[in-house]
Amino acid sequence: MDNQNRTPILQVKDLCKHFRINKKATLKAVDGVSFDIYEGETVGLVGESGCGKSTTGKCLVRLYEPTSGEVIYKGKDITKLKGAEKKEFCKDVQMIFQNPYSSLNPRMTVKEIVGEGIKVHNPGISDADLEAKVLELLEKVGLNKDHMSRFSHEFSGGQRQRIGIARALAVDPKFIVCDEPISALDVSIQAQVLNMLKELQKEYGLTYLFVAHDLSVVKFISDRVIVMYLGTIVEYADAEELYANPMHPYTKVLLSSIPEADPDIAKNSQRLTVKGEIPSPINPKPCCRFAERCPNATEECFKTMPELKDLGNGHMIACHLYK
Amino acid sequence: MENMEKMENLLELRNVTFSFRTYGGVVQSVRDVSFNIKPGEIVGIVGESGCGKSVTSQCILKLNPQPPGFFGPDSSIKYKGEEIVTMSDKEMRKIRGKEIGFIFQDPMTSLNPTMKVGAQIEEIFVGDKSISKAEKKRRAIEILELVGINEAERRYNQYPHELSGGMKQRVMIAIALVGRPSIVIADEPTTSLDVTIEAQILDLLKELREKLGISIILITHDLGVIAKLCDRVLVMYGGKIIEHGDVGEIFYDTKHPYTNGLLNSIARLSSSKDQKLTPIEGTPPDLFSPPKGCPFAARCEHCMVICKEQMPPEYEVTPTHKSYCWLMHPDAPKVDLTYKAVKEEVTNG
Repeated sequence: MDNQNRTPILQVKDLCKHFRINKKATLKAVDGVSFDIYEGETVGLVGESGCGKSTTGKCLVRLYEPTSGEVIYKGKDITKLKGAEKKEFCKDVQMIFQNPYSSLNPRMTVKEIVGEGIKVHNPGISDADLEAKVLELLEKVGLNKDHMSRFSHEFSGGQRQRIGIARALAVDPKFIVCDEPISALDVSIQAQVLNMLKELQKEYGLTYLFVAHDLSVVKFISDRVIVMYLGTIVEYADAEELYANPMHPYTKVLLSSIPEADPDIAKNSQRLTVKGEIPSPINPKPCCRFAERCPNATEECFKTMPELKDLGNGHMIACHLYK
Repeated sequence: MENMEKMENLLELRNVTFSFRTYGGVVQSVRDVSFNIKPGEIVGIVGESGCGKSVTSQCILKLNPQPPGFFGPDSSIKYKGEEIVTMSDKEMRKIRGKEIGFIFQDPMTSLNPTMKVGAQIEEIFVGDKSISKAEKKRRAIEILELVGINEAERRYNQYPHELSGGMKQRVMIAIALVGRPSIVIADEPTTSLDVTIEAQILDLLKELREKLGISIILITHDLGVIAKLCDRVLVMYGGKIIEHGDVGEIFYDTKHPYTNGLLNSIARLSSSKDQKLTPIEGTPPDLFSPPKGCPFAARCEHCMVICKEQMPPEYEVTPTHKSYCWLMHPDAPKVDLTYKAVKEEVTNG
């Protein structure tokens, strides 16, 4: 896709989110992350737990206030929005949460959950209109009229996630942050939700930021993929390019760690393994975050932080091995 | 491997039915399940949540509280020829951990946060006067080293919160192995771990099988993990085994629409972006009142009249591969159940 001539719908510039633990310790959940998202595309954000992918997602919808850096949505910095502009932003940007069991209010009926946002943004809406709109949304996500007056505990995980999606769609958003929307679901249900997200995107022209740890799912849904490690972006490229031609040692390890559901491939593939586990994000050293576990680390890797470089055709990588 | 086939089964389950009495009625979690475990093999049980795979594995060690749980009348679980179903609690203590080990799903919550790692590993020897304190410690440290924990001496004296997720799972494996069991049941051992750590743990399990010659029953919902590790697979749905066979037979030559549906519904690294996943529509059956026919009938695209009326018998595909589906009946219509990726490979040459 040619992104040169388009203006991004969302720009993230040097975003940092630090959590102060005590006087000496700061947890750097997100540390200097920059990327652009263009209208109508799906950007996948992958990494292991604790790499800052969910925190990044939450900063984009203002569930967290960034420590520093800018998030520019349609030309305006979202952290400085106030009043009507802020309301407009909240309407445009929605989120689908990871856990469908804890993200729905157990004391509200489905109608109330889905209708809440509509009411806020259209204060004068009549009950009949509201009901019609909620019903339309529920039908869109594969639920029906009978479900409207039920409570969330009466639904299965897949159905709950559908309610969460209907709630996000209720205010006609342009951009949705999907924070691991399918990781809590069963395999056969995952495919239903994934296909639905894809269809909704086509129908409404939505833009997604798809946060996930499952690389095969991300490949399936994303146009571009960002790989994060310990609060920093290590690689960023078109999905096809990234999976066909991973450059960063961490991406290579991550891709080869996935057990493929094919016994011949899974048993014969030579897998790259790394020693150890993801280190603590508290007071990280000012060098490449992956250096400790990297099989190809040089002296330089332990000294300076690599910058994100463009290797041509939009393949960005932060690694000292590529100059 | 050759003499293995001659050896008899280590564990035999016959017609195991296990239900729970609840306020809402009786839940029939496991219905009429039979299978064998041979020495040294890794058997995978795969299925969605609520299909009874965890309850089946817990039945083997009688970990489900009775009541409210109870075995069906014909259930029989034989370990080395001894009946487990009728064993007393006292007798079970000789089996648990010493003959059959158990690795629990979530290492974060399965370890006791108030006990040191070493003490938790040694817990299996409580009341055993034949082993000295020093010997217990020696065995605990030896097993910690075996599961790949470095600085085992130091870890022995640490609490679980001082360890990372992958390390805790290694401790769980150490606890399961310290009694030198001949079978280890691993209930979703890698579900809560990151992919790079998952890869490490799967390699470890494989290595342990080679080194110790133990059999492993691996419960998982991840077909990738099954493909990577298992020799044989049991596919469960609605409390029943609906297909079982060698890994290759299940993945490349499935004879059950549910297995086929599962294989078609997962996103793969090798699949392209434009490809659409084929989900299995609908949801799993309610086990309060399980359907009298095939449990998958309501979601099956090839469902016939008989499927809703009668549970299909066992059909033999090969001596190792069995399927419970009416489509295997000689009079049934012929349906192509090769899953798409294989089909594409064939058509592309």
